[in-house]
Amino acid sequence: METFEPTIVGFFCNWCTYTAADLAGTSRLSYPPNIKIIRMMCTGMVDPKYIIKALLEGADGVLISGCHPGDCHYINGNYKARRRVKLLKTILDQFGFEEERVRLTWIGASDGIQLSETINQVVEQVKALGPVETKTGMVI
Amino acid sequence: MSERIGFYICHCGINIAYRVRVKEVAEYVATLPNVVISRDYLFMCSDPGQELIEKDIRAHGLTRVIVASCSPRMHEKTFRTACERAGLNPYRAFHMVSVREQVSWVTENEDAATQKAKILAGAGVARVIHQQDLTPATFPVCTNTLVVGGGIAGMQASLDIASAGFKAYLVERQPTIGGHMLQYDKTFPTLDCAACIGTPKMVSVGQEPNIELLSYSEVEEVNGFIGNFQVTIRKKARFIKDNCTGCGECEKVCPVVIPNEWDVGTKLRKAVYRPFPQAVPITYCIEKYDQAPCIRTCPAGTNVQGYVGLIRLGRYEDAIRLIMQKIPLPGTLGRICPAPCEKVCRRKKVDIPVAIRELKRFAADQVDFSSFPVPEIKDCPEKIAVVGSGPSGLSVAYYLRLKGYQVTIFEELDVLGGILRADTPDSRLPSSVLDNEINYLLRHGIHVKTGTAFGSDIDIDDLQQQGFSGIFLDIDTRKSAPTQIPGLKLTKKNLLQVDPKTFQTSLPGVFAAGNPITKPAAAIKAIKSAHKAVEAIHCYIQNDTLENIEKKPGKKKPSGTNWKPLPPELKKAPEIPTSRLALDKKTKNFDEANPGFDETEARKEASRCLNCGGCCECKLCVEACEAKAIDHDMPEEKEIINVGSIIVATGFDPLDPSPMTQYGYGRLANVFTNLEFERLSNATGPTGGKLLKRDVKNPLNFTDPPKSAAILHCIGSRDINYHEYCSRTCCMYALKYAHLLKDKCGHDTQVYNFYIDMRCFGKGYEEFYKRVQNEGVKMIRGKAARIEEKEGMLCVTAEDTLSDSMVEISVDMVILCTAMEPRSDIAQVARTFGIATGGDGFFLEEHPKLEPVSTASSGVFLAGACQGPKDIPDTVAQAKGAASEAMALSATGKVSVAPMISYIDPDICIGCRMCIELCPYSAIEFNERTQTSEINEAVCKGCGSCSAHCPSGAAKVKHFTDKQIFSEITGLLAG
Amino acid sequence: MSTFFKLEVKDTDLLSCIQSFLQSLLSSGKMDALLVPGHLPMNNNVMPTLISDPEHLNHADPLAPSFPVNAAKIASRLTRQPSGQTIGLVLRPCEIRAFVELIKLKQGTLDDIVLISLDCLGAYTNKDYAAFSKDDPIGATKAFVEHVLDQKQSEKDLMAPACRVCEYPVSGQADIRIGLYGMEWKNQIAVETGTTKGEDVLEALSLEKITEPSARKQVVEKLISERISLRDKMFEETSQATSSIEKLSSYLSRCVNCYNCRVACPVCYCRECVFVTDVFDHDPYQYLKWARHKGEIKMPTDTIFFHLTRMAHIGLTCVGCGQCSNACPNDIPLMELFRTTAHNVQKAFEYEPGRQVEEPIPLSVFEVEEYEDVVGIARHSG
Repeated sequence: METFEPTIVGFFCNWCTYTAADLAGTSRLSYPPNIKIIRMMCTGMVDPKYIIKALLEGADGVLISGCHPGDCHYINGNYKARRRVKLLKTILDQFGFEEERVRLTWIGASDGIQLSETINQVVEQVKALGPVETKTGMVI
Repeated sequence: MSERIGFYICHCGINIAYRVRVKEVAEYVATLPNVVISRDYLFMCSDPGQELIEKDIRAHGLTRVIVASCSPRMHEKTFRTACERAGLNPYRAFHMVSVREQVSWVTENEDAATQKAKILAGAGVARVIHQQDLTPATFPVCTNTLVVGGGIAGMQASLDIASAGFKAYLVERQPTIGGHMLQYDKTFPTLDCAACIGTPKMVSVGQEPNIELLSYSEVEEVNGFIGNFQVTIRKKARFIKDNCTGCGECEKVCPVVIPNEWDVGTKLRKAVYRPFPQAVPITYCIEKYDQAPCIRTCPAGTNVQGYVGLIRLGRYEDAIRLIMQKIPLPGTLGRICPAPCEKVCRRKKVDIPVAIRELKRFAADQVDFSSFPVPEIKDCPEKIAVVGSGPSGLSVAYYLRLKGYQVTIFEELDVLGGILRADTPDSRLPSSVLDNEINYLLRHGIHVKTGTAFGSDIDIDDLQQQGFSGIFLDIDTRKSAPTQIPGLKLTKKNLLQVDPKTFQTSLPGVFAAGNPITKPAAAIKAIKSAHKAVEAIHCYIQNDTLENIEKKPGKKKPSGTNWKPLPPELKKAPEIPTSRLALDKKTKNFDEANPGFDETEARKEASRCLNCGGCCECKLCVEACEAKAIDHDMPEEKEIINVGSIIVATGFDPLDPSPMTQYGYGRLANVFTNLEFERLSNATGPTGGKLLKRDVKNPLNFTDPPKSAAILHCIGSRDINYHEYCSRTCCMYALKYAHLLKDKCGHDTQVYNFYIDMRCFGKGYEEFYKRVQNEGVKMIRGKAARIEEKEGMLCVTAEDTLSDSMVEISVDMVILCTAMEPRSDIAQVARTFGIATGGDGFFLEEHPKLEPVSTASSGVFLAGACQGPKDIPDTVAQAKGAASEAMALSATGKVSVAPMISYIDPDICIGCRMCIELCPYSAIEFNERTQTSEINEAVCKGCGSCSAHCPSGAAKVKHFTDKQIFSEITGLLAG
Repeated sequence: MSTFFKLEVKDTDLLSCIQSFLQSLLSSGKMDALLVPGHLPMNNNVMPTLISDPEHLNHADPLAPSFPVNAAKIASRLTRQPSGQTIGLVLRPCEIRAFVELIKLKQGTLDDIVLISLDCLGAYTNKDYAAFSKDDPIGATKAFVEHVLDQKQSEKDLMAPACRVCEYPVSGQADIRIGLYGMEWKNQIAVETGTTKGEDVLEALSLEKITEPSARKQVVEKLISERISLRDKMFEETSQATSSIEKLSSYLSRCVNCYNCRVACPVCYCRECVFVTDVFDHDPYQYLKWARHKGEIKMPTDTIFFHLTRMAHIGLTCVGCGQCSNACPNDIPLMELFRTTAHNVQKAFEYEPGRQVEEPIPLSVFEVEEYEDVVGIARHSG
């Protein structure tokens, strides 16, 4: 049986987690290719509908990641992101999306190692869940 | 118009191509819609690479370009510029896909890497066609630069900027510029003295007309953006005006003694001080906190901290004068006062409160009131009658007399003192004490009529007829026969009815002090009321009205609790001071009265005062200052300055080695930190530059030179428990210390260096190492494990890793080479300037190699040790680099800001104004005319807080529109 | 403390009693116009009407079980700019709650407004009301009132699903409340002050002050608790019916992307919904690409996307009025779906829409320390 390789869409803030991803690269820290990163300027600009869109188009998981509390390049975008993710997770829960499918983390610009570990864990967790329903069935 | 996309994948030498089959990716992308050219190339960022793109754009009419190579944070700008050269709008045309940092470098499997590269490229193809024309806005640049921190980095940067003809504001939070460098003695490897090369810089800064020095100031808020910052500076109150001549007379009279931070506590200073003699500016400074709790609690408002300080200095007469500003009977109150001040004394947090009342009594007992000089009084003609001579009567009489009034006390009995005479066992308050003090008060020219009973012998009418324009009644209407005084109203409790603010009775010009007290211990309360009555009577007589008193807002005492922090060395296990043991022993003996402190005990007890308020506001300095430069009411000021660039040069903190108990710092007198050693060696330090051992009994005392010393490297650096990084300077200054010890204490002094690795990488450093080795300094390769006291010596235990053996070496003195660490408030400072800190805690530069002075915030640059441990040459070099960045901005005169900012579509906006609340930069305003919200393009930074909330999509961030993001998502997932 | 005034009901004609009370309000000079549901003169349909002539209040029928639009949006239109006049708005509790949410979004104001609310007797769907009132609209209202207040069980209860599970039959925000539950309604009802503004209006009418009718509190509490248990049952059933994307797709399979639900929704306040912009106007090849990717796609696309996004937008502010269901041409039980989601998210943010104008909508604010449960990748239970 072919092993299931999930697709994870990452919405990373330019200043912290995207920079951490560059650092992970520079440091040659390997992580699974399942994650595909979309560069955002701030987690605060991640509209909940981007996450819904990704999940409905068959992303098995979504990882939103930005600066640690207090470190936001735009002062407080990450706090606003946290509320939006809270809202969205509550909605998605009702329709059978497991909580592991949408993750919010704070990974600073210098946390290359943490970034690669986080991606490893997210991929592993989503792999354990199996493919997202929207991938296999019809979404109207 | 149909889109024509050109796709280029870079080999990056082999960095991408070794893991990603770039040709396969290019072939795949060629099949995607709208793609007309798809190529791979060895180095896309090279000139030929860029030319390839430009040529294709022209030859094939490309409308869009995608480069799959390194991170866009690296070369996005390069390729955008190439597109622009070929005539395309760079923001519309160009998109970059990261296949190096995000694919080849982090993916192990070649197939997986190639597949991922294809997907990312496909998403780019999907996205790029939705990108739109954007044009960066250009703004003029303010040519002023703010330099934060007046250490060597800040001074150098300011001087460079000034010499280029631009203005620099140099903000320093301490009262002087100079920074750590000026605390040092010699500098390695050349051994020129820090002061010799540093003070000329300080002087130049002070004299340079293009530099505005804002010392004792802090940056509070930064608004705006590159080229146009508005910075709020909080100028702390120095309490000394600019006309200070630096003569130092104030310092001589100041009673408050505090460890000098500049000398890292090895030396004391006064509350009014200048960190060191060459300080720039030369202006003194008074260290003030909120008013000490003892002063604030005393009902009479006595300057407790002040007189305790004077007692410590043995200046008892000054102490009594200070007390008598508020308490007319110091010896009396020194015996009977319930001392609420002692209950709030912060010393109790360390051990037990200072015995304030006993100190007051002691001071009073040192003064001979029969010969104590009476101040000169400027007489005025108005007559005041004081009826009764209890504590309030005496106080009113005394303080009105000091104002020059002709005061007469009428007393029913033969002696003055009222309630103070009653019920007081002589052992507690000997009548001689009271007599002496009352007589002293009378010597000020107060007249007395004893044996004159109010009501029977004399009444209000009589007094008024005798020409008394003010009358104060210190009588208890409950005790005396129900005196029906015409016109004087009584309360239900048979007390005189008085106005609570003015203390005036129902008769104009007749005052009384509210509730009469019934026991001597309450005297302090009576004195409190007396002070208010004095104010009222004075106001009444001067203005013939009391309106001003009523209107005058009660002088508000500062109510904060920002007191001087407890000194760290006191936080240890409490030990009852010997002075107090002596006192306790005396008071426990019931047979005889408490004889009080003797002089040694008293001064020792007084020295326990923590000086909570910093300056005690005794104002002796005001009299001492001939330039009249002292202003104790100087307010803190805020100033907003406009600058175009900011250089952060806030330096470092030395690590506090106290938590490393194995080294005994703070416990063992002769374990020094590197900075303490620098002060010891410095001519302005505690020993005048002599290297001496510390007196075990008194840490402020230094005795004789050490015969041997151990220098311990890497204290807190290269240590996983503290800081993993190397502090870079320690090896070299350790060698310098070794040399100084040999030089100053004699060449027979045994000096041992305990090191992990010697890092002598700079110019002339290795040569210096050889020189010091040749001077006979012993180098032991191994980190010291602990220091113990053995037979009066400090025994250092370490593993000598070269001989693979444990060594124990006893020395007279140990110096800990502590790590340089980020300033304790670096996180807050980072927030103020919108810059980041790295894993080591220091400020993060934009790129570790190529942008070492820039930060994530455009227009904010870094200089010196705030970015990482650095020695002086590196710091100066970086400062010059930062200055050149700032000058480049100023010289260009304009700056363009990234166009990826928000935009609100007025056709869609419904004016809910939610975005206005969410915007962290106040960049959105509501247009009342159109009833829509609008973006201020100069202020918006494009964070997207608005766009992510706006449900209708009226607010969007340019270059991050729904359409663009959705296409990218779809490209990743269904490509 | 609220004050109660007596309104006498003559000949058990509750509607006339309420009409004359509204006439006295309009004639009192305290307001210039009243917005109230009324029978249209041409065909007796019930619609919100803005009345400035007291005579015209004889058409008014706030008791009719007709709820064609949620008038919060009309209230917003009447108050978005100052008119210089005072308007009395006779609204159902859910309309007032939706209006409070719109005020938070700066789409209206309470200045120059008097909120008047009857105890809500509920309503039928548009179709059911049309059939029910066809011959005798006034008689139909009377029958409906008796049916609800005397709890006369008819064979078929036509009450709209939203009203059956509504736990807000009495408005907590109105300036003036006309009480119907727990009254001797055939003889008299009580009108109650909700705010000082309402007090000011009522005191001027020289009505007789009475104490709170004794049975009222208990009757209302009982009603609410019955409704809550029905509501929770509905939540349970809806959750079951939509617990996966497949089930949700099935639930929404009749949706034709007409967006009528959005138009009817009182708290969907956008001028232009993002789903009708070019963002969702995909290129033809994109549809084909999707079809190729999965073998088959439903057209029009983005149906679930639309509903999920709408939940994210209005889940916190949904007042459960049921207009979405009423507006759906294909009878999708949207109210059940949206109320269930709304209940979950409102619970998550401890937010109750329409409770207070001062209470900020949760996504417009944040705290530094909160909702740590959604941060990080540790597995949580539940």
